[in-house]
Amino acid sequence: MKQEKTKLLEIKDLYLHFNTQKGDVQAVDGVNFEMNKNEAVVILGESGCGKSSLTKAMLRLLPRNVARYDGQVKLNGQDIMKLSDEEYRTQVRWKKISMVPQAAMTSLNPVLRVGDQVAEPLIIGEGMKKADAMDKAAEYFKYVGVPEDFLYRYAFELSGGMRQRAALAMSLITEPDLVLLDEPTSALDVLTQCNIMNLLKRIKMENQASFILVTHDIATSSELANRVAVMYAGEIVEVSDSELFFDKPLHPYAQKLMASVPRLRGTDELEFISGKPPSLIGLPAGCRFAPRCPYREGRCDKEPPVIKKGTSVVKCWLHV
Amino acid sequence: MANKNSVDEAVVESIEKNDAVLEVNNLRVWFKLRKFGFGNVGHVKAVDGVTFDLGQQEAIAIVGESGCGKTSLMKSILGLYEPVDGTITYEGNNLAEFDKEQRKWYSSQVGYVQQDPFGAIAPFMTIRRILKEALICNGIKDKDEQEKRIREAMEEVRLIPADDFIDKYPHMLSGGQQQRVVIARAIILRQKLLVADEPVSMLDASVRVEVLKLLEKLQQDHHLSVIYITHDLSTVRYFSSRIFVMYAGRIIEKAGVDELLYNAKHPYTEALLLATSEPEAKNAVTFKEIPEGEPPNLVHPPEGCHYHPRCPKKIAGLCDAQEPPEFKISDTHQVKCWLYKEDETK
Repeated sequence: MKQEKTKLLEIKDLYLHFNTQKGDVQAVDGVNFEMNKNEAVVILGESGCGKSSLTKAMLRLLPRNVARYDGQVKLNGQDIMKLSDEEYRTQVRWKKISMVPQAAMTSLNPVLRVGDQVAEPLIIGEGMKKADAMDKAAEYFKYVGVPEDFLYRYAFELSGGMRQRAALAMSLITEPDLVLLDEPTSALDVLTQCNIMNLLKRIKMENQASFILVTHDIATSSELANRVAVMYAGEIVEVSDSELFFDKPLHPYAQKLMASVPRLRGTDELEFISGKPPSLIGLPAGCRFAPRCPYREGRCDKEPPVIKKGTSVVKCWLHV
Repeated sequence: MANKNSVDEAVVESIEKNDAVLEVNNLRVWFKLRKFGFGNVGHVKAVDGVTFDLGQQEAIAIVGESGCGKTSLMKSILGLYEPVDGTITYEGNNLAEFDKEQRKWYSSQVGYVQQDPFGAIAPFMTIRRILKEALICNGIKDKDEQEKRIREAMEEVRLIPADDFIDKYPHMLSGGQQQRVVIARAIILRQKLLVADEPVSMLDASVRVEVLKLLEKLQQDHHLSVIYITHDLSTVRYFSSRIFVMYAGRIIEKAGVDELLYNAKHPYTEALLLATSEPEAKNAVTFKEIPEGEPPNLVHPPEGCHYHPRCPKKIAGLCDAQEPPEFKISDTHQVKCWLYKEDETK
């Protein structure tokens, strides 16, 4: 018997466009997706698909040239888009949602001791006393596997893997409902990557944590994913359970992506997708993948509907 | 794809006949550390005793994590670093004995494909100008000859129709296209040896295969010898016949591709293979058993075998005291590990 799972996150028609001289960059262009508690969802996409902008949209970390920012983002039932910037800052950012940014090793402040940075969200966000916050930081360092004396070191004294763990500790320390990870292992060595993924798995199991992992690395994404969402040209084109996705994806882009992953010992020929993703400025009408799709037909000139297929969701005329 | 076994045999034969294109012998590349006022306080031993041969038309992959010395090894082969010990011989000529003329000749023999395509080509030059540079520097001054060679190279790397790209600037091209320009530049002088340093790691997943397949085709069409440096084991099968695994300045295992993928001997190689994921849903619920820790400090590396602090199969008293020599598992499979002391085949 299936238990009733509370929806942790419900995103409806989220838009984030940036204003530039050449036109509006439609980075996040009508994204719909939802996830449950204690789930790990991977947002898979190549460079220029808008996935990093999606994380910025979720955390409301916006630059000055925003042309459009609207939609509905329900966290535990509450629509956080309706909050003012100040309310968002004090109630949501690093309280309910936190983030491990891309290349965490360069996101740590080089002139502050690592322990101070990891303790900062508690001191500023929750008004904790420094000593208590440092104790909590030590606890989290231990949890992520960084020796306690590194609290008093600077970022340059830590190796790449350790900096990543420190950034992870910083994102977990306020015990948020959701942690966003933007390419958490892309700049790390293979063995370190593996150790970090093992750590994330452990945190998910022991702490009932919920993760959104944004990456282009399909193989590594399978290390954590329960559900996979594929992003292309600002839209989510497929969301499936990982068992279904890594075996038989539905959307042609997803199929081609899976066929292009090099396998350590496989014998199949690899495929590649010719051409390149469209620019996010001045996107043409109709299906955005059509120019590169092997199954293109007449109706692809019109925007495809979003179809529900079992537990999957796909945006493609082939599945109507 | 050519039959790997026959390629292996052909390679062994060509090396035995002294037909090797490149011979690296006991190479040591150490960088001096200077502390202000105190002179020499030690060396970073980036490459610490590397020996291998590269046969005619052979593609080898050098696999290792960051800090293992593969880039330093590559730069020494390119003639950019002077080794502190050991020799590098190209077609029988010792690099250390080259005069200016010979060094110039050598740079026209070896093509270099860099990791970051956008950083490797001048942003203020058109594609034509970028490719022309290689020709000008090597004495090809005739404009018609230049244009012909540029278009030929672009055709080879499938940047066609050439007119669509030849007058563009790098920022107008996609990552994959930029990398093709870098590759075109590396073959335009009909180079014999290609050194590719992580040529696809900065490209999108769906484009990597395309570029690897291009490199493979060029290697076969032009009978190139290639050194493919990468940290991504999952790509080596598509583009090399032999793999060398490097750790902390030393090559710890050498084998043919299939032999390494199915019959790896060194514990570090085993860990690397285990850590290389295939996209499967069950990964999310299984923990991978690989050693913790990080590659060692190359100024004071561990005594004996550099891997011993992380090795689950270490033999106390032996692995932490003496550097293992190279043991032969077969004619085409060697490993530097004390575990295989008795397995030596003649």
